[in-house]
Amino acid sequence: MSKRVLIVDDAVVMRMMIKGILAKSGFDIVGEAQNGVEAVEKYVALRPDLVTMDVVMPEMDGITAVKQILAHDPAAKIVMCTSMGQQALVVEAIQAGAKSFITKPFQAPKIVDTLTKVLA
Amino acid sequence: MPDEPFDRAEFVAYFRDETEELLHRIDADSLRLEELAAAGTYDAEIVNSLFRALHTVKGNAAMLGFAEVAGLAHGLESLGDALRTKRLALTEPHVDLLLRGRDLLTGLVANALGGGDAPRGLAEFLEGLDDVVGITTAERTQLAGDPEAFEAEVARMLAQPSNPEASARSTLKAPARHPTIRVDIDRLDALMNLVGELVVNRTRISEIAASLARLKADDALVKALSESAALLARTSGEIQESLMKARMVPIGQVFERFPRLVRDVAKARHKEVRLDIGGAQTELDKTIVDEIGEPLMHLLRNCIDHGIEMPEEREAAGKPRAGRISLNAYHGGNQIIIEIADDGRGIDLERVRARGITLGLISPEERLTEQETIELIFTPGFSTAEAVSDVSGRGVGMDVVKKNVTRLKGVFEVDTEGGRGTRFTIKLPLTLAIIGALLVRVSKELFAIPLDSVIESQRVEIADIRTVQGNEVVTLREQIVPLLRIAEFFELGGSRDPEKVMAVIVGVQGRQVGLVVDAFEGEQEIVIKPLSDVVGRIPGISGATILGSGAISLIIDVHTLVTDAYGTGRVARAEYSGV
Repeated sequence: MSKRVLIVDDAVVMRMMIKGILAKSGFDIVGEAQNGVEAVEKYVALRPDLVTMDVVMPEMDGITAVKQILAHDPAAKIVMCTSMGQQALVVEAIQAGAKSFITKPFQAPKIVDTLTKVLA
Repeated sequence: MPDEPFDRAEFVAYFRDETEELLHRIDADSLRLEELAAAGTYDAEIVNSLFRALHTVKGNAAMLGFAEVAGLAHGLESLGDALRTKRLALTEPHVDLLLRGRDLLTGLVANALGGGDAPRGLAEFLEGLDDVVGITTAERTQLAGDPEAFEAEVARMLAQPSNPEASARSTLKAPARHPTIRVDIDRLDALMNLVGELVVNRTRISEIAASLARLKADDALVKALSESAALLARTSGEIQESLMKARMVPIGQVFERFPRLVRDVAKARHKEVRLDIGGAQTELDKTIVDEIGEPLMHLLRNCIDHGIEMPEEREAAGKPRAGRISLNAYHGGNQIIIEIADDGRGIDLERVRARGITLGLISPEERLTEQETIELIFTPGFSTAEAVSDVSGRGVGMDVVKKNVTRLKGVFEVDTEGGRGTRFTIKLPLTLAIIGALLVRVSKELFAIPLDSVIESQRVEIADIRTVQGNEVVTLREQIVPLLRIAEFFELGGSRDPEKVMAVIVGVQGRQVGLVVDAFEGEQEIVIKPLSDVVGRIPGISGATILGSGAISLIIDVHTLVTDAYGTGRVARAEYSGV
């Protein structure tokens, strides 16, 4: 059965791209969220196998969202999707419980690889 | 991007749209920061919003391989970050840097998307920016490169027990918002069209139910049909309303680019101008919002160019140095009203008149009312400005503004007072898809005349019709109104009673024409459909509609018919010959 993914990013372009890449690689995109608040709501409602999480977003940032999602479901698998220059934030997210991270700009094999490893 | 495992071209269109929105936000936020800097205050929410917008532009650009865009956005993001963490103070030089960077960014984005030359001065700007922010060129160029170094650094940091840098992050909180989705406007249009059909049919079914009820008032089936028809009427009405609301967007989307425009134009003209915006939340149809930006922009330029005086001139006249332009939108009944008012010198009616005489639009003896004089400025090629300015004198005159507003079925009014200012008022319908129409019959054809241009419909006594230089006219309330026989205009043939002349008096911009028809068939709400590409454009017809009965009716383009009736100059001749 294909794995169910929730994509969280405030940029439409980024959501479209991640969705495009993952859909072609056999993932099932069950939802998209454009800020941390939506991400937590949709996680609770959809219970996806994996979340890709942007860091800088309005309303609630990605790190707070990671903490809140893990409070709901300590087994949640979250992969941070981050830009270069945000080392400190990535470290904080991983210390908070995110499983891994990918760096923008990324290429298709990289994200598929990272996600597959986290799900294994 | 070295290899492209996904269809990049597909995303470029999204990139274009999203970046445009973000650039507007960057603009609006930067301008707000300029005000705050001048006042010596600070607003974390705006600095954060600006930072996020720059951050998103950077990420998107990097993803699509637009390295230069990503590099510049990164530099500006660093500046935003420094302001956010208060490493740099919010001062006017810093905001100026933001605004200049934003211009370069716009240029770079356009260039990357294949429009326009690469902006000049980028290298110098980046150098200056690096100095202020304290990042290195190497760091910026590395952006579109290999992320391995970054990953290594994260690994190194994770290996350390504590991370003081991690606490530098500020948490960004704001009230929760309703989740939204983006929908292609074509889908909404298609839905709107279908709902239009539904609404028209609902009317028909209600009519049938009412007729049956008159015949068989006690029949249980007829009663059931009536109830069902009433429910259908209510539900379809609600669907129509909800769908219209779904197409509504706040006009603020258009307004948000204006502060920057006004600032730039005012600077170029060495004038001081304050722009007050009100009613940005007022909603109207997306199609209208898309079309209204251009005319509003031109009116604003016009206010600055011709309305607002130089600061010294204003002081001498006892006014504050800075001129004021107010831009307001609000709902009034079934319309939205947009007003642009300045406190400048007003339109010099004497000069307008003189220019009208020079251009041969009016004769020196002619006496015009104030409103008629103002109407002259809507003539193509009309300008009283002594020197054509490089800002508003771009060949786009007031005539084009008026034409655009008319095309949106809007009304455009101008009020002016010498020394006190000018007010432009635009009244627009909330939606363009459904209009009220008067149905008329000519020969075997049904025509729909939009109600907004109908003044009255009446029977004209044959004795009142006079022929002036070969054209039929009647005098209504001391105004000479030319008659236009629809049957002749569209070459429909058919015979009619010469004694019985039915006319629909229509008016556009103060000019009236009597459209001669065979019969009036009542009023109806109609859904406008464009004529298909197969049929092509027919002069005098603006579209078609399907009536509840299934019959097709052509919609008369009143504007064209009125222009035709006056364009030949026959009315002007009639007036001069003293009829």
